[in-house]
Amino acid sequence: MVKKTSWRYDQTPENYTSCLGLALGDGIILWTQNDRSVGYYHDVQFQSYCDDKAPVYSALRRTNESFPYLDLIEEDWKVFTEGGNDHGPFKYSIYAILLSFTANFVIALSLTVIVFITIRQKPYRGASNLLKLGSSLASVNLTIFVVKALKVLRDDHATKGIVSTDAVLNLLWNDLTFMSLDFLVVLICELCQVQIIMRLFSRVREKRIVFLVGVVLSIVSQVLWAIPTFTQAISENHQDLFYDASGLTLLSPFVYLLRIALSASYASIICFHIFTKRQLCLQNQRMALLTVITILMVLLQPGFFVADVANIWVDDLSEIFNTTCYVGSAVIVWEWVDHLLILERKVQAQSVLGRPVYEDDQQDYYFAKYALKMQDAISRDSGKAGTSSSLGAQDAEIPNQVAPPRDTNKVEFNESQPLKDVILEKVSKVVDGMTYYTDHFIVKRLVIKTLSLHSKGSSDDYRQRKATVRRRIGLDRPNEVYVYATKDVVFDSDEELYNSQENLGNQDSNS
Amino acid sequence: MASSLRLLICGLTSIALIFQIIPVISIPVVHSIYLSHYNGRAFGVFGWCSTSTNVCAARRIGYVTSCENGSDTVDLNDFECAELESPGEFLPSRAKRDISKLLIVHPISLFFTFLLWLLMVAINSRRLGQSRKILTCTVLWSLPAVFLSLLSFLVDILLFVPFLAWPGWLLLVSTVLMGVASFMMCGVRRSVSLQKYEKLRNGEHIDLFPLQFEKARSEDLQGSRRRSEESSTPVQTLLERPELVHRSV
Repeated sequence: MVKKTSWRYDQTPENYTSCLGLALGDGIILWTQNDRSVGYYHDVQFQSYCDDKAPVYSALRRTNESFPYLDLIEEDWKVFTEGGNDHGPFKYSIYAILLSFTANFVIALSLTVIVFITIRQKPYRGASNLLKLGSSLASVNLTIFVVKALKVLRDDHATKGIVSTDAVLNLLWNDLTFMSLDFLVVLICELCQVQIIMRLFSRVREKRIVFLVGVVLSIVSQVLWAIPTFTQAISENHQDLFYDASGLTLLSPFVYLLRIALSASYASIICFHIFTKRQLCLQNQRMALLTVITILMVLLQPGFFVADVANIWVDDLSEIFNTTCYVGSAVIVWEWVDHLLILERKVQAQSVLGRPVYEDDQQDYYFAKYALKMQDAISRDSGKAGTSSSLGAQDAEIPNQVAPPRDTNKVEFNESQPLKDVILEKVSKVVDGMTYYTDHFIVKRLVIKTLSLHSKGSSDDYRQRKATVRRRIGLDRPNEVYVYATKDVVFDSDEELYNSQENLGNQDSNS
Repeated sequence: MASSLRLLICGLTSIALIFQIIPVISIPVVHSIYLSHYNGRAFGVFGWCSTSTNVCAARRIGYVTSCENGSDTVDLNDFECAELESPGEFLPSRAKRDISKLLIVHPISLFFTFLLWLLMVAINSRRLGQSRKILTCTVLWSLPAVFLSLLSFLVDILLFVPFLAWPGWLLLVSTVLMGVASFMMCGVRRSVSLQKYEKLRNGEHIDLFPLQFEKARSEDLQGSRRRSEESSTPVQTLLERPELVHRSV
């Protein structure tokens, strides 16, 4: 058996007599085979089936007519269940473990159903698809695991007549399928968490920072997690491979702490936003309930760390709980953010000032770019109505419309550039590329209509939406020119002001 | 208002820095400060000491794991060597002694916090405080600083719970203070960015002040009354003077 927490000392197990072997003495009559008669045996030794020198459950059926257990075996079982060293108490038993597996399985399945039913496809099409993929993978992974665990238990029941906890836990820690899918699920959920935090920030520059930092941290933490976990699992499955356990002893707890620190940071960001937008969060009963569930979900993972430190039972099953925690903290929080932003937009729509526009939007000309892209897309589309073959090329040309024109008068010589310039150019290209992909996520909500204009077919729904957009921005009547007359606007309050001032003036003159 | 906010941020970071220094100078540097006391041993970041004999292990990151390496145990007597060789639990949390090498995050975190504190002090000056690059750098630097502070607290929890002493818990306070300071720094960066943008756009320095319609109206009324007394020119109302810009905070 491989212990998952290789960085902790194993507690010294008790010496159980039934596991070491009991000398039953002579005078035992045994009937071993059908074709042989009953035999008389001298000096009989009896040894119970034990897992890692600890007693296990018997799967045999007991009735009133069954022989009683030996006194020594009963004493051993009492010591095992009352002592805390060898996972003997009921909370470490197979029943508690099975309950955890199935509960996590049901929760993951429910979350997947919630994702497919309630999460809106738009405006974050990519992120919502990612969330669906992650939750589906988690459900599939847990389904496979539950089936495998039941198969292991059935085999033990049929061949050995026991119910072993260690066999199920070994499956959890050494099954490569479970680990590979778990790796993907956690990575996807972490990326979704990054997307959620990006949605909470309104400014473009902050979104960029969150995206870059979040994605880098997610990938680094997952890669670091994969190194000790897969090494241990592969070495367990392939005994001939060399495995330097001592070298990875330090990495394993570090990654464990890194994950906890990341989830604590995520929880603090969400809780801070709940605090700052508490009026919206408590606006109605449904939103308040969702907020409470959100707080519970994001605090669950740091909470498990505390439980883990205090109780080894949680540590044994941490991977199962981790999967559910990650999926829950992505799905529930996503739903909460959706509701929160809808309420926020509603409040903004009802207010005089409307949606706030930040200086970042102005500085990077996002609105100008959006308007240009919109205009360009619609004018091209109307010019080449019905020709859908060259739409992909048009789409590719859009960024060139926005980008500043190149200096065509520049004379270039075949001079070798200095190394510093080359490095700077390369670095700036990398930064520009990263910024472009970041903005692709950020600006997507602005340009999603524009992009979808090219990709959609000529359905009625599409035409209606296109007509609406054209009408909104005034492209449906391009030849009509309006001349506006300037006129002074006189408000009632001003008239009153004038009247009061005139009255005052009259009174002064009379006096 | 802005300068007092920056002073508050600087103060929070200073307290966080002090709270991070205390665990780092724990035993064997300062004998009265220790991260944990368990089984007759007091543990610090750079080593551990036996409280009965008052003898400390050599100062290094990570606790001595065996007596085979002579250079590690120059200060230990035979009794302590025998104690080390015993396979029993050395740390309160049953973590292996190798894990104590993770205490390296303490000095690293202190370094990050110290640089953050320097940046916070720097942005209190008029010149650097208006630089958007410096402010962005400070906000970005605060991310790993908070993260490492949290990590060092978690390492202490992992190694010493349930016998973690007060210097270990100070790290939690330090992490919270730095987190709050970072959030405030984000606000400062936003306001400076906005002010710069307004200044660039309007070509003048904008002072933010609350809306005072009633006061402005009464002043306007009084002024118009005086003007009407002096001359017969038409009275100007607020709406006819669009150059007067009122901004709310």
